[in-house]
Amino acid sequence: MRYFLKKTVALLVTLLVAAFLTFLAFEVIPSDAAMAKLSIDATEEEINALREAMGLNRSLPVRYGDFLLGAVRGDFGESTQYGLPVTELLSKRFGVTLGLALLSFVLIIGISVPFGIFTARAKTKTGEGLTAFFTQTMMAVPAFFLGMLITLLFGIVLRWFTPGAYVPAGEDFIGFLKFMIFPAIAVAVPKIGMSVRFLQSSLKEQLHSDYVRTARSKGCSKSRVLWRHVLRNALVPVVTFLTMVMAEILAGSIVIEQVFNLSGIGRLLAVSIASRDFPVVRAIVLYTTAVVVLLNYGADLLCRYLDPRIKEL
Amino acid sequence: MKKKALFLALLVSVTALCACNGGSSGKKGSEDDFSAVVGITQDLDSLDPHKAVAAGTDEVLFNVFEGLVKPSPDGTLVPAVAKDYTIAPDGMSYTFSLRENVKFHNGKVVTADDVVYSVKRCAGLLDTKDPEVVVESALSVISAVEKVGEDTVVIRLSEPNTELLGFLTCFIIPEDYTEQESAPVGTGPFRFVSYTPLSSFVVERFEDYYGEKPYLEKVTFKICASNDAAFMELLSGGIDIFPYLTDEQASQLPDDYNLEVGASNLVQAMFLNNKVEPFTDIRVRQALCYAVDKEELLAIVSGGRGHIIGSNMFPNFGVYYDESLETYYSYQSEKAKELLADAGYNENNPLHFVLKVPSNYDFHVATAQVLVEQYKKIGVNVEIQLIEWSAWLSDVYKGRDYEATIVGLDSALAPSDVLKRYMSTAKNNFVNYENPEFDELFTKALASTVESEKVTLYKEIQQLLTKEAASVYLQDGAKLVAVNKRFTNYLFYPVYVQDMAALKPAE
Amino acid sequence: MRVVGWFKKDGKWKVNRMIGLFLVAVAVAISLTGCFFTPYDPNAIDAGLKNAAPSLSHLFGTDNFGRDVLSRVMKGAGTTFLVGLSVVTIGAVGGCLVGAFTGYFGGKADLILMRVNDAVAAIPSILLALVFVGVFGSGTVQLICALGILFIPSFARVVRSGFVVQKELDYVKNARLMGAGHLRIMFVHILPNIKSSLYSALAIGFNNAVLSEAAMSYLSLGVQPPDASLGRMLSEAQPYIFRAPWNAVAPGLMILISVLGVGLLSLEGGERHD
Repeated sequence: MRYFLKKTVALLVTLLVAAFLTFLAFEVIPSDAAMAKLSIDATEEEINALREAMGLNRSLPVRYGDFLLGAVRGDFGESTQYGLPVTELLSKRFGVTLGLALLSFVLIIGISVPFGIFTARAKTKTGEGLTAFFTQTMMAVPAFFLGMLITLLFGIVLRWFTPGAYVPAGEDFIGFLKFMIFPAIAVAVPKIGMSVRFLQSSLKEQLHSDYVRTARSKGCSKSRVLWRHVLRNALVPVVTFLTMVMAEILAGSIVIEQVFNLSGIGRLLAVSIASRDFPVVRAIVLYTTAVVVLLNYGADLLCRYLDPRIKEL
Repeated sequence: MKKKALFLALLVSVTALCACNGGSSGKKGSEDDFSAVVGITQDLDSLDPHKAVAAGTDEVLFNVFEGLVKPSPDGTLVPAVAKDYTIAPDGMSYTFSLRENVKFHNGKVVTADDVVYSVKRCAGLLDTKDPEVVVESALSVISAVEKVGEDTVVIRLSEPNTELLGFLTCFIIPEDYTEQESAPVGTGPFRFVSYTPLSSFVVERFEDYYGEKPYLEKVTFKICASNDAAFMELLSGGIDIFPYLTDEQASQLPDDYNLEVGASNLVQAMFLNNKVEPFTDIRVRQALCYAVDKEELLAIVSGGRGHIIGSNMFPNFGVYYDESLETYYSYQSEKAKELLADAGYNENNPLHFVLKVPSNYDFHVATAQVLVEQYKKIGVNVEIQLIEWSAWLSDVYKGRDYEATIVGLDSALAPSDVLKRYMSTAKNNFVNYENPEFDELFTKALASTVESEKVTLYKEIQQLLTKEAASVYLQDGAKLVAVNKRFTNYLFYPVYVQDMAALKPAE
Repeated sequence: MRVVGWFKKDGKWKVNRMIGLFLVAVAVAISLTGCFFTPYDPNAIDAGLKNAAPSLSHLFGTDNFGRDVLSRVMKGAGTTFLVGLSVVTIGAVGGCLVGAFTGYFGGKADLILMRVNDAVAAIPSILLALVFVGVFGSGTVQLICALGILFIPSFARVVRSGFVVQKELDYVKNARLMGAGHLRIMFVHILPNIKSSLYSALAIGFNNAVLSEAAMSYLSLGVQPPDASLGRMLSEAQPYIFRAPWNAVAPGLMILISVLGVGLLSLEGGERHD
C-alpha cells in the first residue's frame, strides 16, 4: 500500500513538472494560438480581442493555477484549433498510436530476443561480424527513409498494401493488420537492431562472469546455465532499454505517422505545435509523461523480479 | 535447435502476414463512378467559413458556400445568391437583388436578413462580435448593410470604392444557425456530410441547388500528412485529384492520370524590408534585382513552368497586368556589381543579409537556395534561416523583424487587393514601403469609376514598384494538378478554389 | 600497451574492432578532407546538370540543383559527425552525472532528479528545438543543445540502473572500508564496471544522434540550407528516389559506414581483461 502511495505521489510530481516545462516552452516560442488562428492580415486589436477571449492575456501563474483546477476535475480544456474537448480529440488519435505501438513491440520482442540469444551463443568471429553488420545496418537507416522505402516497395511496386488506407482495428482487424504491419516494421527495424545489440553485449558480459564458470565447473549444462541464470541477469539492462523504446513508440512518432499518413498522437502533436494549440500539446506531453513514468515503474518491478539483489529502484 | 526453429517460425509468419495482402492491388480511390477523392495537404482551420483563414480551407469550402457573387474561371464575378447587382455611379453604394428560392442545405430559404447578417458578420458590423470571426479589412469601408424589401439588399460605403465586388464573394450563411463550426450549412452545390480532424472532409451533392447540379454525388477531401505521402497514395490509386503536384511528381504521373497545368496566382518574391539597412538604399535593391537569373531559377525550381513577373501582380489580372515589366530587370551581373560598388559594397566590404524562409514551403526553400548561389556570384553573402510558419507570421509579417524573406502572396479578385499593402498606412505593409507618390496613385485608382483610367493608374503603380525595386519579384508559379482520367473539365480559377461541381465524366 | 590491448588479446587480433577502426578512419578521413578540399563547391548550382547520373566528372552524380553529391557528402559528413559527437557528449556527460548520483546515493536527491529526468524525457523534441530556435535563433549549435538535453535522460537511466546493482557488490563495500571517498568510488571504482552497457549506450547514442539529425532535417528544424548534412541530403533525396537514386545512395552509405564503424569499435566491450 505504502509503495503505491509513494509511486502515485511521484507520478503526480512528475506530471506537474512536465506541465510546468510545457508552459515555459510556450512562453518562449514566438506566436500564439490567437495569432495562428486569425488571418495574416488581422489587426493587432483583433488579435488582442481573441487573446482576451481565449484567456491568453492572463499571467503565467494564473493560467497554471487554472489548468490545475481544471485537471483536478478531469477537464483538460478545449483545443483552440478544433474547438473540441482535448480528451475527445486525443482519445480518437490514441487508438492509432496504440495499435502501431503494440504491433511494433510484438515485432521487436518476437525477433530481437531469440535473435539476440542465438547470436550471443555463436562462437565464430565471422558470425559475430555478420550479426554486428546486420544489426548496425538496421539501426542506421533514418525512420523517414525506411518508411518511404517500405511504402515504395510494398505499397507501390508490389502493391501488398494501399498507402494511406488505414482502417481502425475495431472495424476490420485483418485489414488493420494488413496495413499496420508496414509502419510497424518501419518502427521496429531500427529498434530490433538496438535491442539485439544490447542483449548480446549483456549476455556476453554475464557468460564471462565468475558464477557461470563456477556453475559450469560444477557440471551444469550450458543451456541450463543460460536459461536458469544468465538470461535472467542479462535481461535487466535490456528491460530498461526496451522500456524507453516502448515509451518512445507510445508517445507517437511524428515522422512515421507523417510518412504513412496515419493520424495518431505524433501527427496531432506536430499540427498542434504548429498552430500553437497549447491545450492539446500540454495534454500530449502529460500523456507522454505518464507513459514514461508508469513504464519505468513496470520496468523497475520487472528488474527486481529478475535480479533480487536490486533493492530500491 | 528449438530456438532456431522458433525464430524461423516467427519469420515465416511475418512474411506470410505480409504476403496475404497481395490481393488488394489496383483498387480505385473511390467506390463508384459518382464519387471522387481529392488529396489536400493542409487540415481545415475552421468549418465556419468566416473563421477560416487558410487558403487551403477556402479552396474546399468553395464547394459548400457561395457569396452574393462568386468568381468564375475567366476571372469575372458572376451572380450567385444575388440575381443581379448595380453599383452606384459615384461608387458609394451597391444594390443586390436576391435570387428567388435559393435554399440553404438545411432546407431554409435564403432571406434578405440572412444576407444582411452574413455581410455584417464579415465586415465586423454585428452588435455582438465573435473575436474568432476574421474581419475582411477591405470591407471596412462599409458603413451600413440594409434590407430594402424582401429581396433587395443595399450596401452603403463611407468612401467611394468600385472594387468592392471582389470581396462580396464572402459566404452567405443562415442567420439563426449556431452549429456552423461542427456542421456547416451554406447554399453551395455540395452539402456537408462529415469532418474528421487530420483525416477527411466529406461532402455530397445538394439536390436542391438552384443552378446546374454537379455530376459527382460524393467528394472526399482526404487530408494527407505531407505532399510526399499524398503522392504515394496517388501512385497506389487512392486519390483521384491532387492539386499540389511538384514539378518532379508531375513528371512521374502514372498513365491513368492527366496533368492539368494552370497558374498558382501568387506573387512569389524575395521581399525586402525597405526600412532596414542596407535595403534603404535603392541601388542595393536594384542590384539584387539585376543579379537574379530568373530563367535559371525557373529551370531549377519548377522545370521552367512558372511565369516570370516583374512587379507585385500576376498575369491572371488581365488588362491590369503590365507584362512589359517582366524584362525590366533582365539578368545583368555587371550592372548589379556596379550598383553595389556605388552603394559602397565591394570585396573588402561585402554585402551580407539574412533571408528568413518559412520552412513548410519547400518551393520557397528551394528558391532561396538558388538565390543564395546567384548572389554569391556578385559577391553578396546571404544566410538562409528556416523559420516555422507561425513564427514567420508573428516575427516577419507582424513584427517586421527581418531583412529579407521569400513568400508567395495571394489576392482577392481586385487589383487593389494585391497592391494595397504598399500603402504607407497599410497594416500589412510588411515590406515597410513608404512613398507618397504611390499613396496618391493608389487612392486615385481605388476611387476611379472609369475603367480605362483605372487600368492606366494600376499600371503606373506597378511600374513605380518595379523602378523603385521595392522587392525582388520572381514568379507566378505553375499549379500542377493530377486528375484521374475518369474525369474531365477540371477548371482553374484566378483565385484559390477547387471546383468539384464542374467535374464531368470522361467519355 | 593499452591501445594495442584494445585490438589484440592473447596474441589474436580482434577483427571486428579492426574493421570498426578502419571504417571510422575512412569516415573521419572523408569528412576531414571535406573541411579543406572538395572536388566542387558543394553548394554551387547548375541548371544544366539537374539530377545528372554518376559519371567520371561527378562520381556520385548531381542533385536536383545540379550540385555535386560527392562534394556535398564530404562537407555534410563533417557537419553530421559534429552534431552526432556533440550530442552524445552532452548526453553522456550529463547522463553519467545524473545517473551516478541518483543511483549511488538514492534517497531524496534520487527521487527529485529522476522526476525531472522523466519529465524531460517526455518533452517532444520539436518543441524543445523550437524553444532553442525561439531564444537563440536557428542554427546548428541550437540543434545540438536541444538534442543533447534530450539525450540525457536515456543515458541517466542506463547509468543509474548499473549503479544501483553495483553499489551493493562487495568490492564497493571493501573500497568504502578502505576509506575511499564517494566520488572516487563512483567514478573510479563503479563506472569502469558498467562500461559494457555504457559502450553500447554510447554507440547506440551516436547512432541515434545521427538519426535524430536526419529526422530534424526532415521536419525542417536541422542544419540550415544550402549547407549540407547527411540527414538533410537524405531528406532532400526522397522525392527523386525513382529518377535519381544516387541522391540517396552516397549520404546513405556515409551514414552506414560511420555508424557501423562506431558500432563495431564498441563491440566486445563486455569481455574482461584478466
